This record gives sequence, structure tokens and C-alpha cells, in this order.
Amino acid sequence: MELKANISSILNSSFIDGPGNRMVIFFQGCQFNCIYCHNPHTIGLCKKCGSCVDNCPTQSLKLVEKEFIHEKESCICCDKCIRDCPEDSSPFYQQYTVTQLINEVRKNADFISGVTLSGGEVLLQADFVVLFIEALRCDEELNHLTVYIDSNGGVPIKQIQRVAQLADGFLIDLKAALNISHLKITGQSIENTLQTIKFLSSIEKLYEVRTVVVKGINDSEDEKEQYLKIYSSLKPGTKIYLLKMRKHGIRDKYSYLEEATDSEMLQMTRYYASKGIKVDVL
Amino acid sequence: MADIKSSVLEIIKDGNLDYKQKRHFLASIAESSVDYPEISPEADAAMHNKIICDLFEGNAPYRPRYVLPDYEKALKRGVKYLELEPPSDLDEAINFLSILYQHVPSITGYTVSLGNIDKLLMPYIGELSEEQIYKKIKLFWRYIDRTLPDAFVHANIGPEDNVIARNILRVERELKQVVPNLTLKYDSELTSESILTDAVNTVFETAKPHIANHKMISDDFGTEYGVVSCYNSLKIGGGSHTLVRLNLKKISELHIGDIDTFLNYTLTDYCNLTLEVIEARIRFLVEETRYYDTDFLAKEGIVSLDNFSAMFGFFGLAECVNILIGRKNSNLKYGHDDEANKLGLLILEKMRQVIDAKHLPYCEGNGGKAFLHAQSGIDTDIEETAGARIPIGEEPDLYSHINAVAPLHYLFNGGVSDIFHFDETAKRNPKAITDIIKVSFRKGMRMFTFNLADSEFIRITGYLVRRSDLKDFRIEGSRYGTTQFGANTMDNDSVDERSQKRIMSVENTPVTY
Ligand code: SF4
Ligand code: SF4
Repeated sequence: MELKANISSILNSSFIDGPGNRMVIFFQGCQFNCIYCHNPHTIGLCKKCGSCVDNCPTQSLKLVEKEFIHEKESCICCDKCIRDCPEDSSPFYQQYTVTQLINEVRKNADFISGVTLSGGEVLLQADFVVLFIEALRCDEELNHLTVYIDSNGGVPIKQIQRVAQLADGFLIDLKAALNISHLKITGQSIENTLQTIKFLSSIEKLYEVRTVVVKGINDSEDEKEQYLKIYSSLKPGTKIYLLKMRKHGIRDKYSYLEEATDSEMLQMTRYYASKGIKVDVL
Repeated sequence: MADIKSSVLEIIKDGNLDYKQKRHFLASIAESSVDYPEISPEADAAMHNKIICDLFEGNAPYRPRYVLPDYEKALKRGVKYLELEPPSDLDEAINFLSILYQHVPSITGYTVSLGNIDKLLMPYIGELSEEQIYKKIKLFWRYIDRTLPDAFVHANIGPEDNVIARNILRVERELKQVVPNLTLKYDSELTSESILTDAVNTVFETAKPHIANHKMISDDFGTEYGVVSCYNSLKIGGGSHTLVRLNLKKISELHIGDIDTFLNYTLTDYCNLTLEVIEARIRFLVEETRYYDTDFLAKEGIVSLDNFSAMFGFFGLAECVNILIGRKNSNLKYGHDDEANKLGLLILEKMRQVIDAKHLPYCEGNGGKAFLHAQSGIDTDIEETAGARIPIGEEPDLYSHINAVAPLHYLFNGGVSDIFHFDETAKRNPKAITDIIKVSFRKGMRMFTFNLADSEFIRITGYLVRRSDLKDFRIEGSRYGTTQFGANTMDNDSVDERSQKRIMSVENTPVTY
């Protein structure tokens, strides 16, 4: 059977996911479970348990022979289906073959510098990613497009290496600098991500490193010092961004998390600037 | 006469107008007191019913609407009338232009063309350092803003990258002035990627320059053209005698019958009436006023009648298409559906055909034909969308938008504008915008204008105003001739409340007295 990818959504135009105007393809499924995840319904894969169908207040969802039928007319966009999913999944993600996804790219090809593969964690589907990039490179109409990978870097380094040969660049989410906060935020150790960053930087494919700042969790003095060490080790020209954790869209059980203020964000960039590292707030 | 008296008094007593603005409006009233050039009763009726409109140029044309002096020639030869010798260094060249600008006529009283400034000044930079050049450009820019306070005053730079163009962009970012309006001519073979990026970064700060598709416009004009006023492209050393526009929405409402009869009768007839008004105005200006025999610019060869033509403008294409299609019981929409877009193209092609078939006198600047211009609207257009634009708030996604409008641009040899809005994220990634500009040009767009969704400047129609200026105007007068028209535009369209901001362009403003 032809390999298919689970795709949660596609954005035809984005200015913040790599150089130039880019199409962004979001892959479903993630091995991290970040407390502040803004799209928790992209973490898990659907087990077809049917609970979303039962919970829908307007009976707009049906599960017929393991396929969802979504009645858009009656759907009131209440999001109850995705909020209550026991798997942090969604009945709406789609499966694409390489050919199908390439055809989606073709629709936008005139307008874009390239494609960014994002997630979820896209490299959980590394086999598909490799086939996809190879197909893109072989397509005369599309082989001018660059491919960037937006990853949490937490997959085994072998997966990174396989894809790194083919991709033009990487955007890595560095969730924390200290292992203890990384565990707190993602539930996983930081080791793989640090290894990924080191490797990508050494082969000059690390385009950008970003961190979501969660007040009281990854913004301590110790943490900042550790960040500084990591940032200082990167090849010059690597873009470094901080993003403010927003409470909008995060799961109810994490509603206790606090947003940093604009001035706190600014202070952080000033701190790095004073050490000679340029960090911007995205 | 009683009407005139009361209007005159109203202007004189209007505390929101400064002295120059009063003088400008008083002159318009004087001009409106004479009879209109002779036109047929049908054309007269169409004007009376606001189907055809000359954009308040006045009853007795005594200067061309758009004059693009050949500043390069003037700098080389000097100007006798103004007792100006050819300059020998940058100070003298800037001083020369500063004086000449004050003597170029236009409808608003301020020249619409400042010339391709970088090209004009480059021969004079000598051994000056970049910082010295920067200082001089900055003072020059301040002078322009303070003495020519009208947002239709338009400068060009490019297509080549050079130190003057760079410093103009730098000064623009720094001063954030409304005046002058600015266009960068872009040609992928001549313009560096880095100055295009510089220009895009400048738009983030000041909502200008516009980017012009140099290759495409050069194909129509040769390389000696200027983009002036509100995205009008015209020949240097010439210009346009007049701009008369046709309201396509109104004629589609009047039309009885199918689309074929609209194209072959209603549209054709009204195009011919518009051309009649254009011709009458040209004849008055050339034969009665004898502008081209008497003005020093013409006498000294800084402009030449041979380089002039006239502009045929139109607006309300979107409504025209939707009305005609709606009569077929279809709800296809202009900007969204192929069939509607194709009808738009058909209408425009027909117009261009009728215009090209008519030989106009004194229009050798375009082989005896008028230029077709997608006119950007004025503040009294409430029901009609500017030119060939997609109505505000109905714009499809970016790609569909470009795909819908780009195929039309080849027809508008007199200029066009479609304005795009991007959100703040573009700021960190100017390459995303240069990508889109290049695609648009490849797809046949003639001009590309964009703005950030919440920039300090707001592009009301084809010009800029500061948000703060708009607020203040209600309380006190503004120095900028066009701010007041921005304020009106706001009242009519509630620009401020639009979720998806897309702003039209103003050519000029009604004299409401
Ligand atoms: S989306 Fe979630 S709730 Fe719905 S069937 Fe799949 S696993 Fe169950
Ligand atoms: S969004 Fe709400 S209405 Fe729509 S399918 Fe999900 S639960 Fe049903």
C-alpha cells in the first residue's frame, strides 16, 4: 500500500516559517506533549473511538466504516469534538499520498519560495518526508522550491540526518535550555534536541531556533544562562526568536500558566543583546 | 452669480482652509463661471448625470492635467525663463529642481511629477561622501514636503540601484513624510534584489514606494516614462492634457438588453461620448488657451506637445460585471468566479478597442490615441469600486486576488493600481513580499502597491495620510492638501472599521463649494 501522511492542515501562504513566502504543511502527531500546546488536537492519532461523534451537539459528525463524514452545513464550529478527544486528536485530519501532496504544492508553486513541513512533529513521518522531498526534486515545475523542516528536534538523530541531506534548512523549537524545564514542558528529555541543534548547525542547515517563553518555567536566570551557552555555539546568522506563550487555545488543565509581559520579553532580548547575541521577539 | 458670491464667502470664511487652499478653491470657482467647451447635448447630459466626469478639472482648461517636465533636459540646458544656468554640483542641481518644481502647472497647483530623481542627480554627486549626499537629500526631502504639500506630488527612483536612490529610501524611512509619493521602477534584469528589499522595508515604515513593472511599462512607452500622481504612467517631456472618466456601474444600470448589446451599443456609445468630452477639452487647451505656445516649459522644449496624449479613465468595473451577470440570474461575482472575471476582461478589451479606434487631435504622445486608465476613485464614489479593483471587503485570498486582476493590467497603458495588505509578520521577512511582487509582475501586473494592515499611515485612496492627521482635521486644518479628502473618504467608506483594509486611490477631489 502506498505510504500516506497524516496532514492536519495546509497553509497556502506564510511569512513566518522560513525565508520568503512559503506554503506550510502541518503533519498530524507529536511525541512531545507540551503543556502550552496551542493545537493539542494535532498531538495524537485518531483511534476511531467515536466519542467525538457522540459528543457533537449538532450530530454533524458520523463515523461510517471507519471514515468520518462531516456535515459542514450543520456544524456550528464549537470545537467540542476536538476538545474532548481522549487522544488529543481530531476527526478532521486527512491522509495524503506523495502525489496528492505534490499536487497541492503545484497549486501554489507560482507564488512561493518553497514549502515548510511542520507539525505536530513532522519527522515522526520521516519516511514520507524523504519520499516527498525526492518527488519534489524530480518535478521540473517544482524543483526550484526550497524545503524547510520545522521540528522540535526530539526524534533520534538518525532521522534528522536522513532528512537533513535533502532539506534546505531547519527551524527548531527549543522548548527549554535545562533538562528539568524541558521535562516539565514536554514530558521528554532535552538530549535529542540538543544533539539535533548541534548537528544541524555544524552542517549549516540550522536556519532558525525558536523558544516559547513560559513565565516561571523557562525564564529563570539559570535557564537564560544555559540558553546563552546554546545560542553562542550556533553558527553566526542563525535566527533566534522568542515567542510569548499565549493562553489562547491551550488546554483547560493548563489554564494556570502565565503569559510573560511585553516588557519582560523585551528585557530578555536585552539580556542576550548585552552578551552580544541578537534575539528577536516573534 | 448669487451662488458664486456665497461660495466665495464660504471659502473665505472657512477656518479649516489655509491661505493657499482658499486661493486654490477660489480659482476653481472663477473657472467654473465660464462655459464648458462645446460638447453635444448627449455628452452634456451624461456629464450632468455623473456618468462621465472630468474629475473637477474645471470648465476652461488652462493647463494640462499631468505635466512631466523633461528635467534632465532642463538641467543640461538651463531654463531661460527662470534665469537658471545648468548646475555644476549637487547643491546647484537640487536648488535648480527646487525652483523649477514651483513653476510646473497642474490641477492641484502642485506639480505631479518630480522626475526620476536618482537618475537626475547622479551626474552631480562628484566626490561627495555617502553622508554628505544623505544630508543634502534629507534637506531636499523636507523642502519638498513643506512647499509642495500635496500627496499627488510624485517622485520616481530606479530601475538601477544607486546611492541617491538608497539615500532617498533611507530618508523616507527616517522622515516618514506624506510627501512626496514615491515609485520604484523594478526590472528583474536591472534592479538589484537588495534595493527591492530596501524598498519593501521602506514600505513597512512609510507605506511607500509603490513598485512599478518597468519592463511592462517600457514596452508601452519606451524607458522615458514617469509614474506620477495616482499611479498614472506617462511620457517624460509630455503628459496628459486631461483625464475624463466613465462610470461603468451607471451605464450597466441604464442598459436594457443582453451582454452583447451592452458591449456593442451602450458601452461603445458612452466610450465615444467620453472621447468627445476629452477631445473638446484638448481642443480648448491647445487651440483656445494656447498653453503649448505660451508656457515657458513648452517654449523651452522642457515639454513638447508631441509627447502629450489624454487619459480615458473608468471606474466601477466590479459593479458593472456583477449587475450584468446578475441579470442572467447568476450570482457569480467579479474577483471570485472565472466567468465574471472573463466578462470584466471582455468589457475592458472592448473599451480599449473603441478608444484605439478613435483618432484624437494633439495626442501624438500615444500615436493619436488616449491612454486607458483604471481610475482609482475619489471620495464621493460611494457605490462604485475604484477602476478594475475587487470591492473592499470582498477580496479573495492573496493568490486568487493576483490571479484575478493580473490578466487585466496589460490593457491599462495609462496606469492602474491594486492595493494589497499584509499583516505585521511580513516585517521580519521582506523576502516574502519581494517573492509576491516578482510573481505579480511575471503574471502581468503593471504596478504593485502594498501596505501593512496597521501601519501608522493609512492609504485612503492613492495617497497617504497619517492617522493622527485624520483625527486632527475635524478640529483644525491640515497642512496637507489631501488630508481633508482623506477625512471625507473615511466618512463615506468607514475605512477605519474595515476588517480587511483595502483602500482606494484618489485622483483629485470634488470642490464642494
Ligand atoms: S478524533 Fe478523537 S474522539 Fe474522535 S474518534 Fe478519533 S480518537 Fe475518538
Ligand atoms: S465543531 Fe462542534 S458542531 Fe462541528 S463537528 Fe465538532 S462538535 Fe460537532
